[in-house]
Amino acid sequence: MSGPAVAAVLRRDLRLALSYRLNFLLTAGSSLFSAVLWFYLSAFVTVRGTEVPGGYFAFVMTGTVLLQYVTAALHGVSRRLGEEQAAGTLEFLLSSPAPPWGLLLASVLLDLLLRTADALLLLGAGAALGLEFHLRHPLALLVIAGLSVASFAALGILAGSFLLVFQRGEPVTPLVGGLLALLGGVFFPPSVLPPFLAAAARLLPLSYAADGLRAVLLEGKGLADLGGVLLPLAFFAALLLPLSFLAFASALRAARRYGLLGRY
Amino acid sequence: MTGGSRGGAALTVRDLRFTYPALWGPLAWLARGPSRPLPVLKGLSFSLSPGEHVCLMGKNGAGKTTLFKAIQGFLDPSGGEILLEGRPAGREARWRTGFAATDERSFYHRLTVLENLEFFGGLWGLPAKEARVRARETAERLGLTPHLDRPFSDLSTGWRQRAALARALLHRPGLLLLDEPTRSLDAPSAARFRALLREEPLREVTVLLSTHNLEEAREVGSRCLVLAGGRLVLDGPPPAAEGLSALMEGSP
Repeated sequence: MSGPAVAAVLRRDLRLALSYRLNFLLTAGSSLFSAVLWFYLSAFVTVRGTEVPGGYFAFVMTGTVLLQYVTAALHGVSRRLGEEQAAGTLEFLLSSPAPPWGLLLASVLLDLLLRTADALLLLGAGAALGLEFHLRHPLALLVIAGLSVASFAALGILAGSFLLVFQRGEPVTPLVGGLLALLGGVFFPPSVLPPFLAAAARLLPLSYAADGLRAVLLEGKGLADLGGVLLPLAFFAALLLPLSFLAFASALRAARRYGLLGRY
Repeated sequence: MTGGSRGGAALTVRDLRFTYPALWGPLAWLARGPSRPLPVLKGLSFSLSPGEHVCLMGKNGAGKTTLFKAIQGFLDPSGGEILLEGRPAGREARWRTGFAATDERSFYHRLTVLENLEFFGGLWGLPAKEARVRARETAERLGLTPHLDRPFSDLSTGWRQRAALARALLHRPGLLLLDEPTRSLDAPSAARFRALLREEPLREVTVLLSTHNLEEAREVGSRCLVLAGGRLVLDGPPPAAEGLSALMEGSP
């Protein structure tokens, strides 16, 4: 996809977001409340099996940051697709010279940038409340974030494939979204779960991403120490991205063949 | 009577067919799609010469919009071929066609007209600065300049039609597809819209315009295509009103 097309999508999304000014301001400030909430909650929560420097506050704050990030990637594509269908712009967009996969990925860029700003705000608030970070390898942080976003954006594109054909209702985001909170190691470590659920957690990219993020942010680890996290994350991304592109291409062919692009 | 392929044609449509396929039973129920095949276009053949302005007529459901959508790439034809300047209409063909429909839903209503045009220019690969310059130039030619900074939602139907036309012209296509562009316009606005077709930059562009208005068909060009039941039943000068009614009903 051409640079001007990516820039045009980013600019459009920013202009649309800013056109709902109150919503934009309220969303931007919401992280501060969750930082305070987790701070006081962690004052009396002890979780078995938590061996994270900084205790539960550090554990849940890093988990929350990651969850926001991957949720933006997961829901971004399907949300945007649904909005374009309802607005009546989807048919026009997918018939432009810009490649459909490029449009989809570009349409989550603003969400990811805003989530990055939100994550910085959240972590800054955490630091103000006594959270100590030991980030010595920013590159490791970027690699983990990139692989996580790739995996979850792929799942989002899979969800979008369903939406192209059925307009509303897709099984991917409700299923994955529910599993993330339960098994993803965001609010509590999977080690406290029954063994079969703890084993199932290892089938989710988020649990590896959570381990990696905590190791980088709280323990100062670098890429060399993260093989056990990066390899599974890379495997998920390498598997899911081509699969999602294939699924979306098939759904788009079907939508053009059956005349479904203009439906909403 | 149907026209055949002509040398150096801007658009050639050959034996074009489109059928909404039947969906498999449970899938038809889930997606609320057709459970029986629905043929819409049944072997259309015609061509347009560069710079020619041609009207497309037919009753509701005759296949006019489906034809536009197939040319523009919104739909994949079931058979036949569409050639743009002699080459098969694929993704690259989207640079060569512009499409303006009566459907105003294809704009972002919270963005201004200029912001919308900049965005769509970007999708067609125009850098931001160039997209803005072209949007202003095109708006100037269409008399849209005073409305560029208004949210699209605030525009009247006539100005929305012009915004749709401006969008279709941004990437300077050789072929313009106009699907009932004057349907919701009052008489003076419709006349002004038709006058635009005789002015730069539209005068040099090949135009296929669908309409239900016979006077409009006569004003736009000397050639008219009439569809009935998915078939081309006339390719020639706009007929008299009574003849047109008979053609649309499918009897020559």
